[in-house]
Amino acid sequence: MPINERKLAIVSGIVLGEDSEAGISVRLSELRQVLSRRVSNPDAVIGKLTEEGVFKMEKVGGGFRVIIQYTPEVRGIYSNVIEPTISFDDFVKELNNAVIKYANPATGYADLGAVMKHVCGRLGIGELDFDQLFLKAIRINGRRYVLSYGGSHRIRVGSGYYGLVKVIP
Amino acid sequence: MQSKLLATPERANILLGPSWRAVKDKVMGMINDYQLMALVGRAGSGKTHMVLNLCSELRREWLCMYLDAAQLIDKRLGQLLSVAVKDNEDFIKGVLRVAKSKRLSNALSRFIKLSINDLMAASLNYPVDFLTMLHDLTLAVGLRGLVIIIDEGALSQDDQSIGGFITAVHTLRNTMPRLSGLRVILTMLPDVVDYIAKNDPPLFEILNMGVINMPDYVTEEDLMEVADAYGLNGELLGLIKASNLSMRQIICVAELKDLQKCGLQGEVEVTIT
Repeated sequence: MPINERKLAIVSGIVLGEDSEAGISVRLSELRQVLSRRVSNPDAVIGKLTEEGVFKMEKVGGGFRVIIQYTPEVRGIYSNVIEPTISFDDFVKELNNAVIKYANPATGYADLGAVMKHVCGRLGIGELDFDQLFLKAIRINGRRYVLSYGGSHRIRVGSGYYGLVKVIP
Repeated sequence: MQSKLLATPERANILLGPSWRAVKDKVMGMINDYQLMALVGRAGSGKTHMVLNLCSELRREWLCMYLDAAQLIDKRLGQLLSVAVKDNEDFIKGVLRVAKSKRLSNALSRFIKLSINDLMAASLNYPVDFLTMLHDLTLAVGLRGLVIIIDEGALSQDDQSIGGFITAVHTLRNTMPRLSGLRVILTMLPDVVDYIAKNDPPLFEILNMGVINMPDYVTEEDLMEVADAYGLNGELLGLIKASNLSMRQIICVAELKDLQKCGLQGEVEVTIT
């Protein structure tokens, strides 16, 4: 079976490494050894990811450490592998920030598609999770959000399809 | 039954709720200084109701022409103006009648001899010239100027004819400096404003200054007035207070007393698709 070498490298790194502020840190020799069981040229894969900026090399003593950056892709894989629990409060906080950030200056409405990308990237959740949590947020605190038609991602609420959202301060 | 939820000039005599009256005051305050204004609000927030109300008030001092552009496939300026002439025939005739007793320039005295059909043809073929003549005429008869209200210019961001409409507004924008008595009031949905912001920044920068946001939802103060006018009972009021409903949704509940028909079930029905 052909394997996605790039994803395998990130998954292995997440499993072997430990979380830190800057990223997930893992010993290069350890990562290379694990990868070599399935990948013929692990250095090429690691080199490519380093070039892209997903991995960062750090010299520690006589060896190297790989710091895996928290890119949206890495967050997505991370949440699939380890499934961190995202509290509903975190979601609402990120949601409100994103809506304010993307709001049209004239109307105050933000495109739900842009908001979703931002929140999913920050929290490492998928689109389906976003929809579910967003609907929960509306159900619990309907007075805080106003929905309107349009936008690039639409959610059905009641009998309308909405894609623009505004937060009432 | 459905027609109870649509705006008509008769129904627009009443503006329920302090939030809506505040918007009207704001527009009336801006009409001197702003030539291009946009009333922005989501569906059912009372934009059409508001402009109909405004137009009848403005007619004391201005020639106000209201037009609903939803009936047009092609929304170029000429098409919009010819519908405006047709729909406001009586008011234009009134101005022409008054003009007969005034001393007018050569061009204007020929202009007032045209019939409504001639005026429609002129507006269709030479929109900017027609606009200039009509504008000059309103000033010559002692009115403060000409107000054009374009309702439903674009139905949504995905409207097929949105390009023609934006071009027409852009033309009006460029004509504004020459016609000091011209006022243009548009109604827009938030997604149309988004579209203009992304696709026509030069227009957006001018339009942005004249944006007036409609109340997005009915506040408790507004609700008390609506409840008085429609005799809403306590149970419905409780439901309505639980979420941000638009004015049309609330009027729908008040008129029909049927949550399902108004698209609201339970508190607020939520379904994932």
